[in-house]
Amino acid sequence: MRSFMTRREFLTKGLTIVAAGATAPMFLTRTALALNNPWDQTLAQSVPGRPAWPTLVVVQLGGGNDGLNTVVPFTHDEYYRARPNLGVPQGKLLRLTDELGLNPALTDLKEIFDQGRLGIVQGVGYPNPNRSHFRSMEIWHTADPAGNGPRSGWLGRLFDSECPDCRIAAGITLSNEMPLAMQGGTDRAVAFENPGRFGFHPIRGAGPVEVEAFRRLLQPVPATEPMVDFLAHTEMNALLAAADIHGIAGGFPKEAGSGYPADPFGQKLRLVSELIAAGASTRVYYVSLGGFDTHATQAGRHDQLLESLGAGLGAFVKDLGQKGLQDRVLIMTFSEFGRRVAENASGGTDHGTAAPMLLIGSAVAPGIHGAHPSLTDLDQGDLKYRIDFRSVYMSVLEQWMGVPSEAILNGRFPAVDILKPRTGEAARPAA
Amino acid sequence: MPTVLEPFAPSPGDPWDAVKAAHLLRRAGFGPLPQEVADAVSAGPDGAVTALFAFPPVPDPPPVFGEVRAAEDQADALRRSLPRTLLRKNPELQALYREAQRQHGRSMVDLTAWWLDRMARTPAPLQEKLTLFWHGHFTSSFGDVHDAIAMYNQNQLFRRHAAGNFARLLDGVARDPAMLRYLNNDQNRRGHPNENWARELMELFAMGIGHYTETDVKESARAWTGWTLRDYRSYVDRRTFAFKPLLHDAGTKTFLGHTGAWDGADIMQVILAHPATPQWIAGKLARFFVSPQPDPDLVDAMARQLLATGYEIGPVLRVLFRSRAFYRPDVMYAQVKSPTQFVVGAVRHLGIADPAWPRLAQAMADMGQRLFFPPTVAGWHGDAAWMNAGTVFVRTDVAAGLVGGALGSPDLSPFVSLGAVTRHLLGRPLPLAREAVLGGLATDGVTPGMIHLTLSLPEYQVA
Repeated sequence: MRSFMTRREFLTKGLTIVAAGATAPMFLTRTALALNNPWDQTLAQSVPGRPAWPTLVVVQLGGGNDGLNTVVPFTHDEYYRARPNLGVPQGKLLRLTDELGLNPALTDLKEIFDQGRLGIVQGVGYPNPNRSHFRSMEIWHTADPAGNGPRSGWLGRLFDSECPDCRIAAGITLSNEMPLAMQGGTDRAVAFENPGRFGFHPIRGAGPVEVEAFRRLLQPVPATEPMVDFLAHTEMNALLAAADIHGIAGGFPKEAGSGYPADPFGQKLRLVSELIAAGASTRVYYVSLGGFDTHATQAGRHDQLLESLGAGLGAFVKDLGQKGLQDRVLIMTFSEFGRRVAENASGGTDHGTAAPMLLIGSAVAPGIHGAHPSLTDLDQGDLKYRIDFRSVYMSVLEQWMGVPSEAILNGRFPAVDILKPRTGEAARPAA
Repeated sequence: MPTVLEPFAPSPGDPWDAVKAAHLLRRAGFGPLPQEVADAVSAGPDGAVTALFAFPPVPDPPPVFGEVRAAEDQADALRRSLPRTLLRKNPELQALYREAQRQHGRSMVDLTAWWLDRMARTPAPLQEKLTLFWHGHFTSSFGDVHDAIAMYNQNQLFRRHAAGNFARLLDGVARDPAMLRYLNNDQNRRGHPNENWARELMELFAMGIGHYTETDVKESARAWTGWTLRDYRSYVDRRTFAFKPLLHDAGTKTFLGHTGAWDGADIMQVILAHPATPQWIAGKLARFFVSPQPDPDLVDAMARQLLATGYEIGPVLRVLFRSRAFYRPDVMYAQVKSPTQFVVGAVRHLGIADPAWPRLAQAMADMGQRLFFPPTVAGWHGDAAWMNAGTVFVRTDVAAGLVGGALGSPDLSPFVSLGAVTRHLLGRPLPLAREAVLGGLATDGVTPGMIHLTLSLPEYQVA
């Protein structure tokens, strides 16, 4: 019988229940429970054909990445007709198949493709596409296009169902803002840009004494108000997460992983690699690259963004390989939407719909998944999606993370076999 | 008077004291100072509540739009001089539009600083607290509106009607250019209805889901056609409401059982006459001013009060603030301070002379509340949702920055003893265990670290 209040209980049951058992030594209980944490790395059991500790790195391309200029359907004349100025000439493309070529800024991804570790899912979207950045991003984060469910993220619900009592951050986002995708009822994800800055900082002149005092100040006290008690719990959890992160960051090698671009995106990926290598039991990392809203003068800007993306991912994959971690990590990219097929009058493209998702890792079934959306049968000038993004999420959850997805995604979707079949194992652990 | 709203009657065993006065001022404002609490105690509950409603006149616009208007004028002038067919391809015009857009974005920083400074300095904090309430209720985001002056005008609309009449405020919002753009009613035309505003009006602004059908959404969207902006060819016209009969669908609609050739004004009348509406508004007010899960009887009583006064906001709040229910033990300290209240309150408590508002506003965004950019049309979720492992440390870092002088110059002279610290910042003593920890940090006097720790305590995060 648990005598403390988890965040989820608090949010769903409200204040009344806290009053009953709020003064119990909740932090001791929590620590004890963490020993039974199913996501405790030391207890993790190997699933045949999959790593013992599958880790997901989600890469968000914010602003609406132009999918058509990322993976270019160069045999479709309509592409060049719709984009007399922005169309990437066939001769410059990094050829993937007889139909498709990568943008020339993505040389690193071409290398990964040639190594058989890049899967491209074409024409990913959802019904009744929304062309608002905000709303469409929210749809990708919640995996709830109708907006009927609770406003929580699909990864947050993953943490809620699989790891409600994890102590350490089950998810880490490398930004100050917690993406909606990672938000759930149990608050098991943490957000920071710099692990050294994530934590309680004493005022200048004060020292570790103040940090220790803060920890002692958050101990439960009798007969306090439920909300105060809840906040003491939340603040103490934050301190515990910070201590864990600092413990891991303290084990970082002196010399940082080499070969990463100096830009923020590359540096965030370097940090992810270090956290994984240092043994963090985090299961999901979230890294964003923004600026893809190229309504005007797209040509140079989009190339630079793709250069950042490709060079960062290239360095990350190499680094993981050198550390022997390549089999433990799956990378998945997405953007809230692609862009209009036809370029606009300002040398840019407007908000569109379906676009490709990239999946990288040694478990990925390499190559092209699904057919390219038609460039003539359009919906208000936009591509019609072929594959629901929730199909990709479902495959990632079930085939990679090894968890049932139906409750997390609130339904079942046609499977996309983006991962190689597991060796020597027939049945999925999923329900 | 419904019994649940009967007035609090002070008695020797349950006096009108500093704890109750501080509760009132925290809920009706941002962060009361000891002198303000003392004044409210001596004014008595009637006097203290009455004083809250002494609103100053709505202020002049902040002096932050000069460059925006200059950039707009340049773009408008060039546009007028160009033949219509050349408009889209003219690179100079596109550059001027981009510059105007850049100025709008830049002035949002100044506008946000202006509002925060006003919250901290106003003699009538309730006016700004209600403006914030309406901003979170009738949401519009600069991220979609892209016009700083329209956002300011909407902010002033909320301030003008802050404790006024909900029906009149609603009418103003229905004609508000920022809202027309945010929820796309400016694109709602006969034959091409856009349901965004029609739907959110019922779902979030007035009634709550479950009191209408999809047909009601479609029919009312038709009624709202033609409620749009005057013209898109100049910035000023894009900030001006117009009803355009040519774009309006004058046909017959059936809305919530009423059939007629309705337009938007008729729809509002039907909504205001619907029993769900006073309940919805009362519930929103109770969650904002009373507690995350208010007593349903209290909400009912407030709804009846709203209906009885024809949707006057001021009177129902006066009755609420005066009521016994407002001072119940389970209501006090039941809210989590919003990032706005945390930052503005701390600036007030620390007597910060020159707050670094743009950096504080950024920190507020990191805490989950970016003013003028509500995260969704449903506004901010508030209370428990404000606090997570990431936002906790943004708060403690901001507290360190304010106490340490990195975010403005504090006046720490009132903090002469630990007792003064807790009285000043919390309005009540700390639990003994916590006080012992703080007291153990210094043999005599108060260190900045003790003030920082107090601002970091769970007790300081509640209102």
